[in-house]
Amino acid sequence: MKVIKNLREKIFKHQFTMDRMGKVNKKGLSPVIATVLLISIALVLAVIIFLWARSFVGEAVSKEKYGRIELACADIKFRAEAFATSPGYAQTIDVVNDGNVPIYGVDIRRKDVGTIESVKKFDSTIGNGKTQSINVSSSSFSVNDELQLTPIIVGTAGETKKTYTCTDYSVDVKVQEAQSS
Amino acid sequence: MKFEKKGLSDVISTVLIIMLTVVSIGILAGFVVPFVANSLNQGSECLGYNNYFKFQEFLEYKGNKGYFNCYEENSKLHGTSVGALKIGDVSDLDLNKTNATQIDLNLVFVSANGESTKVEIRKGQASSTAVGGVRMLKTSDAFLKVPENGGVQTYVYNSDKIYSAVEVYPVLKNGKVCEKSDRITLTKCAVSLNV
Repeated sequence: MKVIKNLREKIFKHQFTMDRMGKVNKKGLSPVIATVLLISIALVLAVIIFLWARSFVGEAVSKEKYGRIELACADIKFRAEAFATSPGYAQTIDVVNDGNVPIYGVDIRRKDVGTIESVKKFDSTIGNGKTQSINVSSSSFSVNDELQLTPIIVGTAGETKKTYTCTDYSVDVKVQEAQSS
Repeated sequence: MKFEKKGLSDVISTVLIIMLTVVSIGILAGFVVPFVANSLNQGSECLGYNNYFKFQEFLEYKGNKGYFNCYEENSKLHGTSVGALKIGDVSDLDLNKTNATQIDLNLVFVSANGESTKVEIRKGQASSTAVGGVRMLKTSDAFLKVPENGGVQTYVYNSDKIYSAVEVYPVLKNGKVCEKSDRITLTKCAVSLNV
């Protein structure tokens, strides 16, 4: 009997303690704090994901009136003639800009058996309707060589100016022998 | 017993919680964030180069079409023309400033019975005409070149067996090998690989 009485007392004490500690005094975060916390966590996660995903997207370069600079490439029209003296000391390329887009530079590539590789990047603006003569260092190419000229234009990426090589708008030119004056 | 039970004071518990928060933020900022950022960067390094290299099927030069993705049965020379993808190249206004990004490539030659061998092409590496070596198509080129944007280079691999296909893999500056860019079947050469 004594054992049962002790056990009852223990159970009573335990229940009393649980009521005091667990049920009556139980408190949690207020709904306002919980909402603020959830929104903050969501915002931080969104910023992290945005910064990470931004690196996957290439740098967008735009050009006034065209929007994306790739569209300006389609409006480029230019002709070129290349001359070399035999055996190939003085080498010049005359570029005529017939289009409405100013050409900022020209990537000069030389074709050879099994290769196409860059010889020089010429950087001097050729305005609309203007002609520019490009002097290329000796031994870059010689008479009858085949060149590929790729126009380079300028656009803006954010607040900085960037150049864009219009790779799909190249012109092939055969090097002619320069007439001696 | 019941009423003498004591816990931590409000002040102590608040200080403990603040300390725990500060320590957690320190650990996150010092270790977890750089670790995650580094892992994300490593995972996305190859994104721009997945299809960067393409085998060039025909190369037209002075009115002749050359097809160099082939092998010579007697000499066991294997030729292959690799072109870099033609994409609009964005760069700074100074066109002649050397671009820091450098990419190399690995060629993997595969035989009909599934055997394969890897050939590393590194910019500026000395070319070799020995068996197992690789050189440019023009024997006069002493060093290997890697095609730049829109460019094409042709390599000749000297082997002791015949391979029926070749694959190209971009290799980043830090040595990371990206996924296969392209694969082409090699045929018997109709042109000479000794130019």
